[in-house]
Amino acid sequence: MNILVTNNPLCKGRLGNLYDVRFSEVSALEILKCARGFVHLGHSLITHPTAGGLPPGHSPYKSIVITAEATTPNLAFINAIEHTIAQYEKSTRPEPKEHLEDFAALDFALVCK
Amino acid sequence: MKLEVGYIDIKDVQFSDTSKVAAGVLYVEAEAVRKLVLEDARIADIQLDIARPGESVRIAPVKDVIEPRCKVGSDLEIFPGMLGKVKTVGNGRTHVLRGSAVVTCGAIVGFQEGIIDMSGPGAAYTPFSETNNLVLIFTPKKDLPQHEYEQALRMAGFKVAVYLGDLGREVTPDCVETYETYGMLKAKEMYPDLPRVGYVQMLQTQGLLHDTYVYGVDMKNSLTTMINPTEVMDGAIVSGNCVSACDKNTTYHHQNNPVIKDLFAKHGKELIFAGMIITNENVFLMDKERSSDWTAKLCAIMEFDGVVITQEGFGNPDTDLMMNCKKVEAVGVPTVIVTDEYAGRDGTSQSLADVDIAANAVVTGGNANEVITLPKMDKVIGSLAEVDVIAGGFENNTLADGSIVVELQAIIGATNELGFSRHSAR
Repeated sequence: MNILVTNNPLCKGRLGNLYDVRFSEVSALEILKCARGFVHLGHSLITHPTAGGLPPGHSPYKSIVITAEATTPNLAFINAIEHTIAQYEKSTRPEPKEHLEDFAALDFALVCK
Repeated sequence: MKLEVGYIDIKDVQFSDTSKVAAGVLYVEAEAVRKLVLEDARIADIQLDIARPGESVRIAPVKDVIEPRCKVGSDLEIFPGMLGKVKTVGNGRTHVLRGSAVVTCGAIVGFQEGIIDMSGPGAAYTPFSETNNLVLIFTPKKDLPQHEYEQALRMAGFKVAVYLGDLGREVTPDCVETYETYGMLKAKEMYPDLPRVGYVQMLQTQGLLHDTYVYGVDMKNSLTTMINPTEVMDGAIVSGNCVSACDKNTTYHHQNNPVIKDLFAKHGKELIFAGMIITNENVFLMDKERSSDWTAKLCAIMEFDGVVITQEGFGNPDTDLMMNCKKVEAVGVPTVIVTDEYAGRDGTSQSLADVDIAANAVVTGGNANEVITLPKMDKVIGSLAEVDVIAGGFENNTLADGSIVVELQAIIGATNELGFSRHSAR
């Protein structure tokens, strides 16, 4: 079963049959950093870290699917996650406080297939 | 396939007792449109308004823009599989109410719809400041889930566009243009010395509220496939997405795809417009691999001498763009890609989320992060309540004099990745 790293409360209770859900109440950036840890250990990215059509810092929620198995670290995955983190770190946008349900629904839809 | 397109130039839109087109004016019976829209029980109320070029009007939050068209002299229908019968379009004759548009307006997810200014500095960034717009402002039924609201609003927009388009059925067009494509062998026979150029259109398909439909099929569930460019002019591809306003392709953009138009203009003269491939932009990396593999495979099967690839959206679709580019180049077909940039407000950051050395011919639609001040308008159609939360807006971005400061992202079509704008750089 693949691992889902997420801070989205919608994913918490509803995706247990699909993924090994690792939920924590942290920022989207912290979720990316958590996924980066896995990728450097050789886990593969299953979903793209910037998925969702929203610029970095616009959505408070982030869900990323990675493989349970680890092999040799893959440079393309490392580049993708590092680039995404760099973009998030540059974003100065304060975390949104409105439309939280909309953000959660969009993020959930990206990984619920 | 051969499509005759008759353009009826519309110089004004007015409300009237009866709906009709006369002497270049589109008359709209508001009550008939209201009734049509309210057939859908998910829509609680609908308001209608008109926005004309040059007026001091701001429309927000805009979801989609649609051009009224109709099929003439056949049983074919516009928006096949979505609203009309699913029969293959792209043949026969089509009438277009050129210069008019239906604009759908409603805060579906609050943060991914855009702005149209009909005058002032913002007007130069959107093609819909030049169209006579019938604006539909929706109120959904209470507690309607977002995806149903999106669907209801999307379908209502098509219904109204078809209703208006039908008014042009018996009208003599101001001009008629013919677009004809040939099979592989015939085209080669006719123009043995011209290069065979293809077009790869990437369609936004990231899931909930980010979908594009082809003959009614959600493109994210499709393999990369081929379509005849004239089919697109008849509404075979429609927008169902709420991505950043600046680089989403509205249905109007699809109907008037400038890459298709420009390739047709050179067809039989400088090149053969040899085919069009449509592919998706999915979230799962396996889907990206499969779709881009198929893009390259189809380019090889079609023996294109070159292709133009256009993107929709930004961020993770940059990965699809680069995968398409490098795999198509790897099968020996040179590419030109069309994209836009998120290079920071000062333009110094890396423009794309992904890059590849194979992408050595790149056309940009502009920097979506560029900041613009939009002066106060006399009239707002819709609501500005969301203007600080839409993508491209930011907190406290309304100034004391009523003007708003936004990134170009917030303006519908500002950095369109089909090249549907007049912007250039020196």
